[in-house]
Amino acid sequence: MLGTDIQKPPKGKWHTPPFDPRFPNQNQTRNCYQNFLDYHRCLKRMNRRGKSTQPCEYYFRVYHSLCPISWVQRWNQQIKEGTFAGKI
Amino acid sequence: MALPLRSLSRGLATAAKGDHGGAGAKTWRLLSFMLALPSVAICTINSWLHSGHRARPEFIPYHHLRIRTKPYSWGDGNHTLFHNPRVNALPTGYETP
Repeated sequence: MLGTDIQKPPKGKWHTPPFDPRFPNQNQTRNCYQNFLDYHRCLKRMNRRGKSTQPCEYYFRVYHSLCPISWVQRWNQQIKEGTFAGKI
Repeated sequence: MALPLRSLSRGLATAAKGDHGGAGAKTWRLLSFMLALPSVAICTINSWLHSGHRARPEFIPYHHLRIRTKPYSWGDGNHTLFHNPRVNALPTGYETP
Protein backbone atom coordinates (compact mmCIF):
# COMPACT_ATOMS: atom_id res chain seq x y z
CA MET A 1 0.00 0.00 0.00
CA LEU A 2 1.29 3.40 -0.95
CA GLY A 3 4.33 1.95 -2.64
CA THR A 4 6.25 0.56 0.33
CA ASP A 5 6.89 -3.16 0.43
CA ILE A 6 6.20 -4.19 4.01
CA GLN A 7 5.53 -7.70 5.16
CA LYS A 8 1.88 -8.00 6.08
CA PRO A 9 1.57 -10.31 9.12
CA PRO A 10 -0.67 -13.37 8.68
CA LYS A 11 -4.35 -12.61 9.04
CA GLY A 12 -4.81 -13.92 12.56
CA LYS A 13 -1.93 -11.87 13.93
CA TRP A 14 -2.82 -8.25 13.14
CA HIS A 15 -2.12 -6.02 16.12
CA THR A 16 -3.32 -2.51 16.80
CA PRO A 17 -0.70 0.04 17.90
CA PRO A 18 0.35 -0.49 21.52
CA PHE A 19 -0.37 2.03 24.27
CA ASP A 20 1.97 5.00 23.94
CA PRO A 21 2.34 6.81 27.28
CA ARG A 22 3.31 10.00 25.45
CA PHE A 23 -0.27 10.23 24.19
CA PRO A 24 -2.48 8.85 26.97
CA ASN A 25 -5.68 10.73 26.20
CA GLN A 26 -8.47 10.46 23.70
CA ASN A 27 -6.96 12.88 21.18
CA GLN A 28 -4.52 10.77 19.18
CA THR A 29 -3.78 13.23 16.40
CA ARG A 30 -0.26 13.96 17.69
CA ASN A 31 0.34 10.23 17.98
CA CYS A 32 -0.48 9.81 14.30
CA TYR A 33 1.64 12.77 13.27
CA GLN A 34 4.57 11.80 15.48
CA ASN A 35 4.72 8.30 14.03
CA PHE A 36 4.48 9.65 10.52
CA LEU A 37 7.45 11.93 11.24
CA ASP A 38 9.36 9.15 12.98
CA TYR A 39 8.87 6.80 10.04
CA HIS A 40 10.26 9.31 7.58
CA ARG A 41 13.10 10.37 9.84
CA CYS A 42 13.99 6.70 10.40
CA LEU A 43 13.89 6.08 6.66
CA LYS A 44 16.10 9.06 5.90
CA ARG A 45 18.75 8.18 8.46
CA MET A 46 18.83 4.46 7.65
CA ASN A 47 19.21 5.27 3.99
CA ARG A 48 21.96 7.74 4.74
CA ARG A 49 23.89 5.07 6.63
CA GLY A 50 23.13 2.45 4.00
CA LYS A 51 21.35 0.19 6.49
CA SER A 52 18.14 -1.79 6.09
CA THR A 53 14.97 0.19 6.73
CA GLN A 54 13.20 -2.80 8.25
CA PRO A 55 13.07 -1.34 11.81
CA CYS A 56 11.20 1.66 10.43
CA GLU A 57 8.25 -0.53 9.45
CA TYR A 58 6.95 -0.36 13.03
CA TYR A 59 6.28 3.35 12.65
CA PHE A 60 4.76 2.75 9.25
CA ARG A 61 2.25 0.27 10.62
CA VAL A 62 1.40 2.51 13.60
CA TYR A 63 0.68 5.61 11.57
CA HIS A 64 -1.22 3.63 8.97
CA SER A 65 -3.38 2.28 11.76
CA LEU A 66 -3.97 5.63 13.45
CA CYS A 67 -4.04 8.26 10.73
CA PRO A 68 -6.94 9.10 8.45
CA ILE A 69 -5.91 8.13 4.92
CA SER A 70 -6.64 11.65 3.63
CA TRP A 71 -4.03 13.07 6.01
CA VAL A 72 -1.42 10.54 4.91
CA GLN A 73 -2.14 11.27 1.25
CA ARG A 74 -1.99 15.03 1.85
CA TRP A 75 1.32 14.78 3.70
CA ASN A 76 2.87 12.51 1.08
CA GLN A 77 1.74 14.96 -1.60
CA GLN A 78 3.34 17.81 0.33
CA ILE A 79 6.58 15.89 0.78
CA LYS A 80 6.70 15.27 -2.95
CA GLU A 81 6.10 18.97 -3.67
CA GLY A 82 8.58 20.06 -1.01
CA THR A 83 5.98 21.96 1.02
CA PHE A 84 5.77 19.59 3.99
CA ALA A 85 6.06 21.69 7.14
CA GLY A 86 7.42 19.04 9.52
CA LYS A 87 11.08 18.48 10.26
CA ILE A 88 12.26 15.29 8.60
CA MET B 1 21.06 41.87 19.66
CA ALA B 2 24.60 43.18 19.81
CA LEU B 3 24.11 45.54 22.75
CA PRO B 4 22.54 44.29 26.02
CA LEU B 5 20.39 47.36 26.18
CA ARG B 6 17.89 46.08 28.71
CA SER B 7 20.52 45.59 31.41
CA LEU B 8 22.19 48.82 30.33
CA SER B 9 19.03 50.88 30.83
CA ARG B 10 18.27 49.12 34.10
CA GLY B 11 21.76 50.10 35.26
CA LEU B 12 21.16 53.72 34.25
CA ALA B 13 17.82 53.83 36.06
CA THR B 14 19.07 52.46 39.38
CA ALA B 15 22.14 54.70 39.23
CA ALA B 16 19.98 57.79 38.80
CA LYS B 17 17.69 56.86 41.69
CA GLY B 18 20.13 58.31 44.21
CA ASP B 19 18.28 61.66 44.17
CA HIS B 20 15.65 61.67 46.98
CA GLY B 21 14.12 64.98 45.95
CA GLY B 22 10.61 63.56 46.36
CA ALA B 23 7.93 63.88 43.72
CA GLY B 24 8.59 67.46 42.74
CA ALA B 25 8.20 68.68 39.19
CA LYS B 26 11.89 69.62 39.15
CA THR B 27 12.89 66.00 39.80
CA TRP B 28 10.75 64.63 37.03
CA ARG B 29 11.88 67.29 34.58
CA LEU B 30 15.44 66.39 35.37
CA LEU B 31 14.74 62.70 34.94
CA SER B 32 12.95 63.26 31.66
CA PHE B 33 15.69 65.32 30.07
CA MET B 34 18.73 63.67 31.63
CA LEU B 35 17.57 60.06 31.64
CA ALA B 36 14.60 59.30 29.44
CA LEU B 37 15.49 61.32 26.36
CA PRO B 38 19.14 60.17 26.27
CA SER B 39 17.92 56.56 26.58
CA VAL B 40 15.58 57.12 23.66
CA ALA B 41 18.48 58.60 21.70
CA ILE B 42 20.73 55.62 22.47
CA CYS B 43 18.01 53.15 21.46
CA THR B 44 17.39 55.06 18.24
CA ILE B 45 21.10 54.96 17.37
CA ASN B 46 21.12 51.24 18.12
CA SER B 47 18.20 50.56 15.78
CA TRP B 48 19.71 52.62 12.98
CA LEU B 49 22.98 50.73 13.35
CA HIS B 50 21.16 47.41 13.06
CA SER B 51 18.97 48.51 10.16
CA GLY B 52 19.51 47.84 6.50
CA HIS B 53 18.24 45.31 4.02
CA ARG B 54 18.69 41.69 4.97
CA ALA B 55 18.55 38.67 2.71
CA ARG B 56 14.93 37.59 2.63
CA PRO B 57 14.05 33.91 3.07
CA GLU B 58 13.51 31.90 -0.10
CA PHE B 59 9.89 31.31 -1.00
CA ILE B 60 8.38 27.87 -0.23
CA PRO B 61 4.60 27.62 -0.83
CA TYR B 62 3.74 26.17 2.60
CA HIS B 63 0.06 25.38 3.00
CA HIS B 64 -0.17 26.76 6.54
CA LEU B 65 0.94 30.23 5.46
CA ARG B 66 -0.61 32.87 3.20
CA ILE B 67 -4.01 31.26 3.56
CA ARG B 68 -6.79 32.65 1.38
CA THR B 69 -10.04 31.08 2.44
CA LYS B 70 -11.91 34.19 1.31
CA PRO B 71 -10.58 37.24 -0.57
CA TYR B 72 -9.77 40.33 1.49
CA SER B 73 -12.39 43.08 1.34
CA TRP B 74 -9.90 45.64 0.01
CA GLY B 75 -7.80 46.06 -3.09
CA ASP B 76 -7.58 42.97 -5.24
CA GLY B 77 -8.48 40.72 -2.30
CA ASN B 78 -5.08 39.08 -2.35
CA HIS B 79 -2.82 41.60 -0.56
CA THR B 80 -2.74 42.01 3.22
CA LEU B 81 -3.49 45.47 4.57
CA PHE B 82 0.17 46.43 5.18
CA HIS B 83 1.65 44.39 2.36
CA ASN B 84 5.33 45.08 1.73
CA PRO B 85 6.30 43.80 -1.73
CA ARG B 86 9.95 43.41 -0.78
CA VAL B 87 9.48 41.07 2.17
CA ASN B 88 5.88 39.85 2.00
CA ALA B 89 5.11 37.10 -0.45
CA LEU B 90 1.78 36.37 -2.07
CA PRO B 91 0.50 32.77 -2.08
CA THR B 92 2.24 32.32 -5.43
CA GLY B 93 5.54 33.95 -4.51
CA TYR B 94 7.28 37.27 -4.10
CA GLU B 95 6.16 40.04 -6.40
CA THR B 96 9.52 41.80 -6.72
CA PRO B 97 12.49 39.65 -7.78
